[in-house]
Amino acid sequence: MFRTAVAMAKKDLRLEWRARVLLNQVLPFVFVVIVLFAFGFDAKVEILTQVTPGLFWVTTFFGLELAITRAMAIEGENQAQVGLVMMGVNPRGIFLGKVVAIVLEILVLEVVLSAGIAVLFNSPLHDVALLAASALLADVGVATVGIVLAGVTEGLGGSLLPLLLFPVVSPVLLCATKVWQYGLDQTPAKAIPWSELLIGFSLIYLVVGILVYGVVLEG
Amino acid sequence: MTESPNGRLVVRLRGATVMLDRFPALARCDFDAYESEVVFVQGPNGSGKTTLLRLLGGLVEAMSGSVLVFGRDPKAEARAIRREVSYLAHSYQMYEDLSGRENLEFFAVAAGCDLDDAIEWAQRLGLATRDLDARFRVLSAGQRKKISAAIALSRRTELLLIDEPHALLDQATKAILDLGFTEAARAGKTVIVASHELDRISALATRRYRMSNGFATLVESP
Repeated sequence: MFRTAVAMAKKDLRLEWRARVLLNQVLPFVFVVIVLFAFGFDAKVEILTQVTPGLFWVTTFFGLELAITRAMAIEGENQAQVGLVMMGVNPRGIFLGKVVAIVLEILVLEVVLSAGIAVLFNSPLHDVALLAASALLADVGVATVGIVLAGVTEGLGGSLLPLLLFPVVSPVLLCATKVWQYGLDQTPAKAIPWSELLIGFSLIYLVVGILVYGVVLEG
Repeated sequence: MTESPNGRLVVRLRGATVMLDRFPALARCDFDAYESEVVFVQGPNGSGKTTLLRLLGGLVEAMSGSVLVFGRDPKAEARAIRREVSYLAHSYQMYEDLSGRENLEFFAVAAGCDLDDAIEWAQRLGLATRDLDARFRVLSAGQRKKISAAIALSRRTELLLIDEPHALLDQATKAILDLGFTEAARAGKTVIVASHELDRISALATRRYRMSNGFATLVESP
């Protein structure tokens, strides 16, 4: 399973590097969001600091959605996914590989987004370890649900994925936003219950995803 | 699995019916294939050839009748059976932005096939090093087909499901592919080929089925 997962992740990252979908589509979007918010709030640092957690996670969610759609589109080309299925490739390996690739891609986006926020909003990032860990957990949570739902809604029209994804992952996004809020406020103790909830949701989503993805792939 | 004068029974369909939406793609289909056989499935477009191969690979399910591959239900035990099945489909099932070699490397790891064998098959089918190192999207349709065929032929499986193998290929490659099928059958594998190339496959086939409107009729037996 892990051998397949590593091969899948390497393959997806190589394809992303060559197609540069994230670089060409998501990063400009991120840049526009940061600049518009900075202008919209007239560079008032207090307000910008208050909206930063929500802004960060809304932007990341859009990026994740695009990365998930792209990850599944790759498998639709030339019916590559049918090839994987017909060769009896371990579905758990496929699933884990996709999750790893999406999370790594989004981590790059989050680094750029955080740096942009820190510079343009004049909002220094405190408790970087807490912020990074919560970002990683939330990315895993959203990516796992996204891959499963993208598989379920395959062939039913692309507009269904965002409609289904957001309600299911909203607990993860909510927890991550609260952890970021307390992390940026330098009150990390208040973030502990939200962090525990985030760990719980993300782990549950990951385990359920690993268990059901084989069924989704066959369906 | 059943033994018979023909050898070990690998595929057995009895009254298998497959509905695609409301369309009966296979209708009460009977079909047998034994080890060391090249079974030729002929028939016009839409007669059910591809559906038959997809049924044997567990990609579609029979609504009624019985389907046994290696004595097991290919839908219920899909993953176990697919490790013993190679499927060369119409679609290339490759990644456009990987080179031919990278595609082979990926499937070698993911599907557990031998990379050296796959590259050897690709070269045998006429792909030069330059072709293997080019991105899949810039290759011609025939070259793409050769890479897909190299993976299907290099997997160490017992059953080969081959759908329209000769489409898009030049005469020399068609001959090499046919030789590959014959070699596979000699090695004890079962090769089921759906094709429109009647003369070419008839010469190789040990058994022939004609498909029409989802029905399979045995037209020749050894």
